[in-house]
Amino acid sequence: MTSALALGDLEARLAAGEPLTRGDLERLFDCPDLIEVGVVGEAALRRRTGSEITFCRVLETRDGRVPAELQAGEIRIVGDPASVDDAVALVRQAASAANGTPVTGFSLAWLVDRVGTDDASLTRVASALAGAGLTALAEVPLDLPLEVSRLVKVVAALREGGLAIHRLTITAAPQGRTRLDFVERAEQLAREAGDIRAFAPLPRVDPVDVPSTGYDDAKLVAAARAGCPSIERIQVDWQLYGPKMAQVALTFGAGDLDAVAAVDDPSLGPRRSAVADIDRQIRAAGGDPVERDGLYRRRG
Amino acid sequence: MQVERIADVVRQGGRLSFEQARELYLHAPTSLLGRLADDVRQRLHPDGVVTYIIDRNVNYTNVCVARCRFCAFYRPVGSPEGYTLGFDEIFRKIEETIALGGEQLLLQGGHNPDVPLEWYEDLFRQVKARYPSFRMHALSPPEIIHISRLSHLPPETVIARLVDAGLDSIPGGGAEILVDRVRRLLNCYNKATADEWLNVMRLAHRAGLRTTATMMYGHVETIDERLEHLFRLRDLQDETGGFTAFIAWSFQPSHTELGGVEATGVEYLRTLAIARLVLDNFPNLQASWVTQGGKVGQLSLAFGANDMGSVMIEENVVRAAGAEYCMDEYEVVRNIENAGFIARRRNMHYDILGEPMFRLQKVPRMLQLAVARADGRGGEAEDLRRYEARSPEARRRRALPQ
Ligand code: SF4
Repeated sequence: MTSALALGDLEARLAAGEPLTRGDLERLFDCPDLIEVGVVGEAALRRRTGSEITFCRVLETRDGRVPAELQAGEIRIVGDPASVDDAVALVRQAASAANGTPVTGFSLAWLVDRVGTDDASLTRVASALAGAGLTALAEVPLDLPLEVSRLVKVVAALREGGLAIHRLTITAAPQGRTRLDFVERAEQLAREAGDIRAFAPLPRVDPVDVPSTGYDDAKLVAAARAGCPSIERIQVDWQLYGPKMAQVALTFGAGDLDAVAAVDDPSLGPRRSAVADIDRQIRAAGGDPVERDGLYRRRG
Repeated sequence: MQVERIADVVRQGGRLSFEQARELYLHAPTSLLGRLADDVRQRLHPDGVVTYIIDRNVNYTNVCVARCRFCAFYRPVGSPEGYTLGFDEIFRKIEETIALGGEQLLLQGGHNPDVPLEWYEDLFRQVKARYPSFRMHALSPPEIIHISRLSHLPPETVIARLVDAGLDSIPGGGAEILVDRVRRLLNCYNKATADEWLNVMRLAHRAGLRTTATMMYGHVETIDERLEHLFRLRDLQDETGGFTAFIAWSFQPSHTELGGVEATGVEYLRTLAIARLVLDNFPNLQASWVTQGGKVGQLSLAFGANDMGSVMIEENVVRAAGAEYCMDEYEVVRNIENAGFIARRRNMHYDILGEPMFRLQKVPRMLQLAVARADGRGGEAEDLRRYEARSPEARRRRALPQ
């Protein structure tokens, strides 16, 4: 085991506002002293956003239907529609019932698959989706095989069409320190494209037989927080990662809980959550809860 | 400042008072609690070894008269969903366990009035005759008390007879919170008071058995009552030295009469850490991945745990309350090594048995834990007919011609 001060210099440099290098992030990720990794992650979090932890109640819809009584701060259309026209129709249906709640949807991976990466085409499709009521693209997966310089242009083209682009994700990634590549990509993209509000560094697909470990997840969260000063929030997905790991991630540098259930659905088991429970979980992790909407605006 | 002063007591190897433990538990930052607990773990286990055991957690019956309010597992006497396993079913489970490299059964069950002392004695004798080196880690203190009441024999006699039949060690289940106010609220005061639970452990230790101790927190107890639980365990360990390990887990509320919400993951890590600091005379602390999941289970290794517990193979009680996690030996070892430790197999006494079994022989992967009866059948096994029943239903049933 390493000494208690193995990462003390990183803490000091973060406190002085200095950026960390790839080598620093590798040291953080490889450090076997998890407590110290947590101290660095939490210090970076406090420095960036204080004790405030945001969360968003997200209503996911696959068919565009939205219940009348809506508590959500975001309506997110999930799935991959067969065509852009189908997507526009879904957005129109969801937006008609949204009653002012931001409607987000789709992944950049889906959009690139349907439209390609030509800037003008992307702007045209973004404009059609925005015109139907879509406020933001739900996610930009960083494991998409595009150079960051290309991604910056793609983001600009979509924004020109009227869509907000706030959230970076990873769909699937090999385990281990190669995941730091995505931390670097996230920071570079956020720095160059601007206005990236959240980065969810834990891959959305975790193999069942060899899932990522708690140590690796916690270290990746800490590395993302320390390595991405241009991004406001490191995000964990409440439903995907479950309340226990998602909450513990808040003590390693995560500052936002995404995909909190918008309706109290008993079939979600412990992953369901009334706002009171989210509040309890955030406070038990030492944070002050703030509810936000799909555009990262404070609610209520 | 107060917290820092108390932290220094720990750093210098001093013993925490109740008030000092309380101050740390309530006010120390989670990272400081983890740091202190990790330092204690390193002091106790400087070799960097994290252990685990391959055993099977068999619940021989779910029929229970205790009716604890936190339990989703039990069925009342006469319920069509009530079951009691037969000897052959248990032997089959032992053989499956041996095939996976296991060497022990953790055998616990409900307080079934129709399973007398002789049944346990016969079972243990037959297990030892068939599988001489296989170990029986069986019957938590409330079960011993239940059998003692059923048989009108004092607990020390029950323990002596069971040891004579082949009992090797006693699991620390049924402790919940060792404070009678809490036990009354949970309706588990009658199954065993705090003193009764501790006394069975005292008797077992005096009889030469080693046992574990547990704590189920996060229901109706206060922080002080959690600490009282830990201090009562520490006192008994000072007296007997018979506990090998401590295991804490959070109350699993789904499908229970008590209901409510589960304590959080951070609370688990803090509780584990404070247990590591208070229980300075307990050599080992287990991670409860069964209730916390593999990820937080692994993080326990940074908060004072030096043991990943059991590969389990089978689990019924926690699953009944809504939590379902599985880690086979590959996963347990991968998690230990990923956290930077050396993985070693152990027995109940924490003797190191060696390298991971799957590195020595071919062991099939297991991505789901087994259940008591794969087909979910209720009913008691035929061989129980040979034994005297207490409940009128079972007496009638056993009197019927076969
Ligand atoms: S916890 Fe044990 S004693 Fe209590 S009701 Fe459940 S099976 Fe019976």
